[in-house]
Amino acid sequence: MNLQDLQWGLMMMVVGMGTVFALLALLMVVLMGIGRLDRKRPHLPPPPAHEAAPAEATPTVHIVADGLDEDQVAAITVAVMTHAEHRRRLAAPETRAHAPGSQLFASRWLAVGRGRESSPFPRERR
Amino acid sequence: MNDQLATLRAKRQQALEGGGPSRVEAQHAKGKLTARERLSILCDEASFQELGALATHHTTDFGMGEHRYPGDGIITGFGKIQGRRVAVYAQDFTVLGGSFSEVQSNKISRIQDLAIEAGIPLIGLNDSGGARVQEGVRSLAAYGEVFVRNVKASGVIPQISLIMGPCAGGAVYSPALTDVTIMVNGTANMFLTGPEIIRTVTGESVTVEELGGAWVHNATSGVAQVIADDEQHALSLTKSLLAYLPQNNTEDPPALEPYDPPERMDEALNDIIPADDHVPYDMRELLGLVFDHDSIFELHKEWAGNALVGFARLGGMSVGFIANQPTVISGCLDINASDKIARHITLCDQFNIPLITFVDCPGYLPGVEQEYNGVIRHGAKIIYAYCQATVPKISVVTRKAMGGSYVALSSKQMNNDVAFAWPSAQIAVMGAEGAARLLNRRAIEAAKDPVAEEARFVAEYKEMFYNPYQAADVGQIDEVIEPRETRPRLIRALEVLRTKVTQTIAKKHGLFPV
Repeated sequence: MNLQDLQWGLMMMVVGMGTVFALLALLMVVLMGIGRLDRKRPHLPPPPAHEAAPAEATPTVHIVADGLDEDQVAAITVAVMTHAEHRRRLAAPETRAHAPGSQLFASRWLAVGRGRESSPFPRERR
Repeated sequence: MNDQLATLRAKRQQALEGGGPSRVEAQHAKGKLTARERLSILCDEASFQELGALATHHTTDFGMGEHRYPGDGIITGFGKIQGRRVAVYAQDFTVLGGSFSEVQSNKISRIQDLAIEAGIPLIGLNDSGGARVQEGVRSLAAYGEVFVRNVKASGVIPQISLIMGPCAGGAVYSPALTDVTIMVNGTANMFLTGPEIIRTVTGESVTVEELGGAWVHNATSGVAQVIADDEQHALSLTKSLLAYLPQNNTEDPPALEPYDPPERMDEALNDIIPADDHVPYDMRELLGLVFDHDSIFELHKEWAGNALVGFARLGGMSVGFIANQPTVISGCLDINASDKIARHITLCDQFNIPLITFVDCPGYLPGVEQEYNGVIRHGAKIIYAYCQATVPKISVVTRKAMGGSYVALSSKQMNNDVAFAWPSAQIAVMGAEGAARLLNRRAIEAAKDPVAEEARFVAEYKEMFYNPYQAADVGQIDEVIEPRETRPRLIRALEVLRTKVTQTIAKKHGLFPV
């Protein structure tokens, strides 16, 4: 290896690294530009509404659905909730975790154990 | 075939008409429904299946041959309540005053036998003027047939009696043998001997309502457990009550999908106990904060108010509760409260309903009258019932747990499974003032300032015993908890204990201290 080869190698290293860094810098500029373009403009607060005097406000009825007004919807809601609570008090089928007597959680342990509690005399084996 | 069908339809129609339009009108005029109207309200729509609709008596004495009605004054059969099968019978007052006959007995006995075999609840709607005198001893024997089956069914299937009219003489024993009796205010009455006989024998003048009205038996005698405003209310209460009970003694009560958060901690519980020991608080308010929202069904609400018993739900599961009520004679146990508690423990135990006991009891009510009337014997019922019960038992000491009442009310030695106490608990043999006089009387009398000496001893005693920590130290209390934690703690304990089974000793039966 002579001095000329060493210079050539150093030059290639500088050119290569310079190219890479130059491209990275270009990429950074491009990305920043895209980011700036995508950034939303902050919404300005709407101009303050012209506040009407309370005396001038007119009562409005909001139609909610199917021709029912808010009072009707409220009355129906209360009726449905009351009915649901009544059904729950009666343990109606739709409120139960499982059918009565199904003992879904129960194990053989419980079935056998309760049987022994009810009739503790052991059955004779024949 | 058409003629045969026509005959059947005519007989059926006759059975449906009961005692006829005039009698039905008279029944309505009294504010009462007919038996069929009651059944139509009680049972799910089109679910009632009648049996014995055409049965009729064969008595000809005293002109009875001319008074034959299909069904003979009682309707029996099967139906459904919220989809659950039940057996029901309803006495029809429009037919011969609902008088109890041999045929009535046969029909009721038949439905009782079928209910026991099918393992389904039995509901009886009582509205009868009494035994059918024209049948003589046969109508008396008829009562016995029903009683023996009431006892056979006891502890096997839930039996609920509704008193919706008169129920006199021997007829009263059938409701008394059932699990729960519901009376309609104003129209229902129960008594062994009527006002006329009482006036003749003892000279006492009393009206039917004063003698055996719904309020008398709900608030004074304790014969009935529930009072209803009217018949529809009574039928609605029956359906609500059934929601807490299983179909039979091998099954569990209906469990609901949890609708109240199990982890709910109500901060109000931390402030519910007054700082002053002598200031009462309402136990009903406490129960309302612990149990699932709007789930409490109280029994014996008007009787022995110093104790509260009933059913409620925790995490959707049916539980029975027992509690002292500090607002009534400080929550002391007396004869009636002991009977009330012991009965409820037995009721819950026979139908696999866990027991939750809230203790705030300064002891047994002192008094000559209590002792003379056997408070020892009655108090022993609580101990017997708790010790005998095999269902999960959890206790919460909220404030006072003094002396024998601590032991009796679901202490560890009563086979209690889990014992909680609030920091406000006071677990001691006796109250501080009594202990001061008992232990330090001489020292107090000899002191220069007896009042100050007594106060000093009382303060010392309270510091030592008026807390739950000594009891927790010796293992009598499993855990001292914040009041607001009570609900989640109870639910977690129940989740573990719901598969609890115990070994019982084989025996015919014990001697319940009646």
